[in-house]
Parts: sequence; C-alpha cells; structure tokens
Amino acid sequence: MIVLVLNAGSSSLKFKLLESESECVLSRGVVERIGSSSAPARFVCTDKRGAVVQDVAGEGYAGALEHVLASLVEGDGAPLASLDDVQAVGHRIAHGGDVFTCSVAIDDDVVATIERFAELAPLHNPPALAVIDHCRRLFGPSKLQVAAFDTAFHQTMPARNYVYPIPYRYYADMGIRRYGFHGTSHKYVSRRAAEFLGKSRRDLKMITCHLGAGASVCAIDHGVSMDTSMGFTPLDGIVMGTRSGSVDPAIITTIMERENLTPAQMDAVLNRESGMLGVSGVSGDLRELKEAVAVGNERAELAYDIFLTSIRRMIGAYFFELAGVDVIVCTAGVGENDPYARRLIFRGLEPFGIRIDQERNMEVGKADRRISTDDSTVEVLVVPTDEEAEIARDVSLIAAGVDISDPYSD
Amino acid sequence: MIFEAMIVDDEAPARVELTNQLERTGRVHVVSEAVCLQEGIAKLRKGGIDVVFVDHNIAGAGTTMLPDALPDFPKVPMFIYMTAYSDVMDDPFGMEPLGFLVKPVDNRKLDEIVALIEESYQREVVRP
Repeated sequence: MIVLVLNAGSSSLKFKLLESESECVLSRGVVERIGSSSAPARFVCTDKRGAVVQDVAGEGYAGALEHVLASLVEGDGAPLASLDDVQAVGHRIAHGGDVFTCSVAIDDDVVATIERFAELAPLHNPPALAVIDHCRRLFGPSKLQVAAFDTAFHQTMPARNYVYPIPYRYYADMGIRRYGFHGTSHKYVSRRAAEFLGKSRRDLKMITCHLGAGASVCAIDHGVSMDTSMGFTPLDGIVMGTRSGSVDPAIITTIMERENLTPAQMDAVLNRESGMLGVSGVSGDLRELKEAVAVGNERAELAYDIFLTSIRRMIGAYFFELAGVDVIVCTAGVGENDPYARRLIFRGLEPFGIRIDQERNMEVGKADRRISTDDSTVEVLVVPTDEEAEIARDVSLIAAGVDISDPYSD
Repeated sequence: MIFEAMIVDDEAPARVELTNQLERTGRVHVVSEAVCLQEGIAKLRKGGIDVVFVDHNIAGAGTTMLPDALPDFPKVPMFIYMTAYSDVMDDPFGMEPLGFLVKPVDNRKLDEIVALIEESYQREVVRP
C-alpha cells in the first residue's frame, strides 16, 4: 500500500512516501522555515531523482503541503503518476491526550478531539490540524487519513507512573499528568527488537532508549509501555540537546523571581537554552560537542558527562522498576550512531548481566544488530528507528479493517 | 504433580518475587506471565495453565472478560486472587477463586494455598 506520512512540526512539514509492507521509501523530504518572516520556506527532497532544494511559493502549511504533493507527481521520474496513487495518508500528531490509545482513522470527531488537546501541544497540534484540514479538502472524503499519536503507546502506563505527586486536582481538573512522547519510535523499535531475537514481545521486558536531539527512555513490559521519561511535556526526563530534562522544580521559581522572567521566557530557557547547549555553551549537537571535548573544552566534557549519566540513571531506574530486563535497545541519532556514547552508557554493568562486545559496538550500519556479547544475560541491541514506517504500518492495518485498539492483542 | 502457573500482575517486581516463592515450594512451576487481563486471556487460550495467580486490581478488572472467555480455554484453570489488603475478598472477575493471597506473600500462606490447589485438583480427578 502506498502511504504518504506527514509530520507537521512547529515550523516544518516532513514527509515520507512509502510502500507500507516493504517499508520501501519512494520519496522523502521536508519543508522548512514555514511561517518565517525573514526567508521563504524551503523545500528539500530526496528520491530516485536525487536531491532537490527549492523555495516554496505558497503560504503557510497549506502552501507547503501543495508543494510536497506537486513534487510527488511532477517532472521526469516523479515517484507517482497521479495523486490518486496515494492510497492513504498518515499524520503524526504530537498529543493525543488521554483519549487516543492507538492510531485512528480521521473523522470530524477525531479532528475536534485533537483540537481539544491543542493547548497541551501548542506548537505541534495546530500545524498538524492545518495539514489534516487541507489534506481532507485536496484528497476528498473517501481517502483514508489516519492520525498517529506520539502519546498513544504510553496510555498503558499504570496510574502510579502517570500521576504526579502534586495536589490531585491538577490531574483531575487540568489533565496535568505524565503522557510520554516518542511512543511511535519506542513501539517500532521494541517490535523490531523482538523480531530480531525471534521472540514474542509478550514474553520480554525491555528498556528502549530513543537518543536523538529529543531523548527519552521507556520501560516496556510484555510489549506495553509501563513508564517513560518524558512527562506532561517533552521537556521532562533525561538531558537533551537544548532541553534541560528533569531539574529541581524549585530552580524554576527561583530563576523566574531573580531574573523577573515571564512563564514564556522561562519556558524558552528550559527548552531552547538548556541541556547540553546550556551547560557547554558550545552546542546542543553531540557531534559538535564531542569536537569541543576533543580539543579540551571542559564544559563540553561536563555537558557530555551529564547527558550520559542521566541516561544511565534512567536505565537503572527502569531496570529496578521492571525487576531486571531481557533487552535494552538503543535508537535515534546518538543511539544508532555513537558507539563511544553507548560504550560509556553500558560500562561496568557486568554485575547486572550487561556485557558489551566492543567490536560489535563499533560496527557501523543501518541494520538491526546486537552489541552485547553472546554470554550477556541482557541483550543490548541497536535498532534504527523509523517512525514513518510504524505510522504507515498502522495505516495499512486500519485500511485492512484490523482492530488495533487493544494494545494487548497481537 | 507439578502445577503449571501463570501470574497476571502489572508490577514486574511482584511477579518475580511470587515466581521465586512458588518455585521454592517445588510444587508449582511458573510457565507464563501477563501484565493485564487481556494478555492473560490470550495466553490462557493457548492452554497448559493449571492455576492463575491474578492481581485483584489488574487493568481490565470489574468486567466479565474472564467468564466470557472461558469457553475458549482448553481447560479452566484454578484462580487465586492477589490483593494488597487483607479485608478484600470480593470477586471482580467472577471466577470463584480458590483462595486469596495478600501481597507481599507470606511463605506459610503460600504453602496453605498450594495445599488447597492440590486438594482441589484431587477432588476434580476423583470426581466420577
């Protein structure tokens, strides 16, 4: 089935056109700088025709979407003859609140519910809604469109893990609770990891580590999310490129008072000026940070150490929460491509049955692979994530009439 | 006779602890685990389970899921309910449990329950 997956961010629209069964990618790219007043939006795309970079004439997300769709059918070697060849569209939605426990076919009710959660994800849900709205108009009502939520996979968490220890009314009246994010990625890599090991997800305890610019760790018991490091927002949990992760909450009120900051300014400090960038003063990008470490920048080294320690701390917490695990999975930018970080994260854990094979760890590639030794009690795997493939899989299951609403059914 | 057991509990440490306690008796072998009723039912459909230790507060409780699924089970296992409170003795799953165990489980109480399981099994076997 040919599926177009769209991912509207706060100023970008990513897309991937793929064949859902084979996960074969026909075209992929992004429109950046949407809504920028200083420069036109830019379209960057890669497919069998090679790489393309163009300015986008249209306005906003509608203009970006029209540019993307035109690129799929226009010109020599276009991946599609007609937009009718797109059999269904999948939309990645940041926040599904506590309503959506799985991907769903989009109708008016679903749109209204996503709108209801816009205040929980003000930078992401409104652009996604704009794209859904325009897609429904362009493709017409008969084309299947599916919403896939970053939060859905974590809806299996027990209350002990999603209710914060603050007055209960904030949860009951305002929906302030842990939601968790990166759900599509954690679900995808946990499924792939079980397949790699030739076992059922229903017999495994796993910790999955999504370590990219945004980073989160997830405790997965028998295939379902039991706990995850991101919380009410994607700011919580482990240290990230420019996000602080968990900090003493009193720091926030102290800084706001002393520097007379508004909530929006404080939000910017924690989301865009903190994390590895904030500590190092160099960069939130781990590659640039490591270059600074290599030339003796002590704060860069400190930032790197804080990042890795926060990951170890979270893995350790989930190891105890799950009373031991069978599998640990590393994925996303750092998890897939930084053997040095993986080595430091897992060093000295032999007493816990975690034993890394350093040669396997150094191997480079895009394939799912084992980096633990054959006698390691815990399997440690690298599984490249592919959120669009997971969304396309859900789309094709929904198209086939499969009920995916029960997270415990296989 | 060594009984084959399933533990249904969303707290992994509780499952591990109970598994170790049951294995210690030498009379019960834990062959399956589930984190919720739905998963437990799916695994019971495959058969091979003599006794189920299920957390009283497990997700999906208060429904008729288990009785509804009974016809699908190759054999109907015995049920033991696990609770965190000694005064909770109701039957949210409608399975007429053989007994209750308060978590964390006392080894002596567990031995009594295992004796009950054996008695119940004997009764079933000798029933004409």
